[in-house]
Amino acid sequence: MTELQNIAKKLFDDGSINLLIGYSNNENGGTSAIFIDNSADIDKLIYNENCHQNLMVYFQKPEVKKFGKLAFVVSLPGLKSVLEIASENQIKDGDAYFIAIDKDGNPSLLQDFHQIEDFITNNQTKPPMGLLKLMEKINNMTREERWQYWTDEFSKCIKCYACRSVCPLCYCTQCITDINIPQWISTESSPIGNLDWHIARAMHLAGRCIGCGECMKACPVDIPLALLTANLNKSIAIHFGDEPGMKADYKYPLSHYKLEDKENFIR
Amino acid sequence: MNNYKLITKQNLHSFFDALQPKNTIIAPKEINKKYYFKPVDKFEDIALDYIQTVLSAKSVLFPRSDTLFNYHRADGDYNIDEPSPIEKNTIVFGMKPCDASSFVYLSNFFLKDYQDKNIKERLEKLYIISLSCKEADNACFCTSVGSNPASTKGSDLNLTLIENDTYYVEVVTEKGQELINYSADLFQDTKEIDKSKYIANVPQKFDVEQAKQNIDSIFESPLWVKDSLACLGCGICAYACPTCTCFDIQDIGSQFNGSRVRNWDSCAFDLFTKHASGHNPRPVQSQRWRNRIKHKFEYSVENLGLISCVGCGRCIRSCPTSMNIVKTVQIFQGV
Amino acid sequence: MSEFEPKIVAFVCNWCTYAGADLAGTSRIKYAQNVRIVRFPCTGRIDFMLLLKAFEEGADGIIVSGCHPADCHYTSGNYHARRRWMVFKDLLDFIGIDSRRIVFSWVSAAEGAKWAHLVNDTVSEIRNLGPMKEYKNLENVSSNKIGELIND
Ligand code: SF4
Ligand code: SF4
Ligand code: SF4
Ligand code: FES
Repeated sequence: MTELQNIAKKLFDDGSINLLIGYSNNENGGTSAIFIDNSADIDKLIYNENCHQNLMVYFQKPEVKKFGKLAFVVSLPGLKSVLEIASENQIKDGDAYFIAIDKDGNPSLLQDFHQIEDFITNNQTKPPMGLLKLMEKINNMTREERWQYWTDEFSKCIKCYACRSVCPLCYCTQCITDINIPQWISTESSPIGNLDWHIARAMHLAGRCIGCGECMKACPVDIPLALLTANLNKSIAIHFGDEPGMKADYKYPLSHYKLEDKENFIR
Repeated sequence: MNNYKLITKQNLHSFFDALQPKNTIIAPKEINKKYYFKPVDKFEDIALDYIQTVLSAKSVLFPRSDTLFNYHRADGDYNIDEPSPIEKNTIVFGMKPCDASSFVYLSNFFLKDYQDKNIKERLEKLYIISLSCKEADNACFCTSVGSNPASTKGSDLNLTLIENDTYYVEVVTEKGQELINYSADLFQDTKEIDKSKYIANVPQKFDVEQAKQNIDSIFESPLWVKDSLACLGCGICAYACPTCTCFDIQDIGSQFNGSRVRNWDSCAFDLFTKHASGHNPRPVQSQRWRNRIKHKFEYSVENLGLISCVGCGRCIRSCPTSMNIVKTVQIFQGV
Repeated sequence: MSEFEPKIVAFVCNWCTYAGADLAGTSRIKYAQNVRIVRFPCTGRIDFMLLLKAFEEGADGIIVSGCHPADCHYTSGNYHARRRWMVFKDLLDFIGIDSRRIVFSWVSAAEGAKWAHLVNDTVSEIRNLGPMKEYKNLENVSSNKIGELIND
């Protein structure tokens, strides 16, 4: 038995959890989420560098919640989403167990938000180079080129909403794009409909996105979605000095303010 | 009608050049190591050795958003115009046999009782040149749903690479002959051959008749929930699928002018079945997943006499959480 | 060809800027006619989606204005709005929408003259920028032409 399986087994044996959400090998040579509700299946539990899905998306799925007490296998981005979700009062300390996977792939059981905060501070990684390069490239374009770049990218969108479904922070029970009175975002995948969707999605994740990149990996047409939220996070860091996913008592910068906030752009 | 020909790869290039000026040609193209159907005007741009594209070619008939008519109010009255759904004849060049057979389902769905005008006009101008599969991956399962990697169902012409540089051509329909006539001298007559040794081996993963029966008989089962815990309710599976035909009709614009459009929809979305009252008869994801499977193997058989899955494996490849229709069917076969 | 007349939509709060605009009117201060005013309870209510809708409906420029800091009728609506605008502006820049087309201001109920100036300045700035052609070139519904039917 691996260390990861040992930790999981112990949680089942002492009756701490009813369901464990982790990773296993799938039929197609990849890895995917596995939902283990009794310790007999524990030998299927694995972790390797292909296990990227952010399993915290399941924390509010009704059929998952029904099981009772949950445990999640989470690496750094997953843990950041735990803190972000906690700061939004969607999960309380002690609601679930987290088997954290560190940089070297070693598991450890984290039980409270303090431990998660420490873990994150000790396991920081740099954002992927490719993403940073692309962001720089876009920032160096002229405005017209940027517009061309993004309208080209957005034109590919088929509005399957996989980007929304896989995002641990897109947990609204009714998304703005599903509201039709008034119809804020047209259901069409037309130039306007797509632009609206992408701006709305990014704005709703501004200062909340923890940068797991799952939206980008899910997108069937490879739109570099995480760049939009990453860029918004960058401006939030510049203007307000905040960064999501680091503290469970993070104050969401767009629902707080300071009297001395910059206003040189206001006439 | 069936006749058999040979064409060399070089001549295929010339054949393409003969077709190109008068037709819109849609073909698989490589973009970042993935394949997508795109309009092409150069033979070199076509990917001939791909396994499957990310999205199907159904959008040639049934686009993501299809304008049914535009309206415009003038002098107290509404003027309606229906944009032409297709201009030139359109050839899909090099789609896989599973996809070609999806067009049999699509035309049944859209033309059986009510004849959908846009689809009908497009279908009349649509030509399908399919390419038998040399290679398959473990998401492919055409052989489990009554097809095979060299099936000619739905194709006008079917090409099978038999030697390094020679394609064996089956002329399946009149339309196929029409295409050949663009440049008949590029082809050489031959006898029917056994294609099986030139194509991919796709192991059968379930028995479709058995599957139909089992899925028919099971509505309430805890297995539906267990099997769909990972499903997140996005629409990739339906949008990538060559036979998913659900749509949503929307009016875009104001009371003065606008358009009525038909957009893709997916049974995986919770909004799909939501009533105006707020009640949702399929409130949880397992019920939506059940609907998808039952539609493919039960409801569409009831309605059209055809299962609505051609085994292309796109939903399996694209699902971000690796939901797997084959696995589900297998689970229910074991019941 | 006639000169380009910019269409400006102004989103203003009920308690300060709307009253300020009203004062400009009752004081018979003349200002450019290009502006259509939409009244909101507070700048805190002015969602970014509204600004996008204005562009979609053909606006060439947008004014967003409310009470000065410390004067918001609901105490902090304008402070929240200020942060949101900062971030939204950056996003527009990143996507390549000219954020100079959205002008933010504080205009109090006593500042009829400031309102008139704001409108005049905005109109002349937008006149210089020209029509918002990016949005005007975007289509509401997708084309039915085959070839374009395949999303690319
Ligand atoms: S996943 Fe990609 S194609 Fe699907 S809605 Fe999101 S951006 Fe559009
Ligand atoms: S990177 Fe994408 S999926 Fe991950 S939190 Fe940000 S928006 Fe959501
Ligand atoms: S099966 Fe996968 S792709 Fe389909 S709706 Fe569910 S999560 Fe999305
Ligand atoms: S009431 Fe004027 S800004 Fe809030």
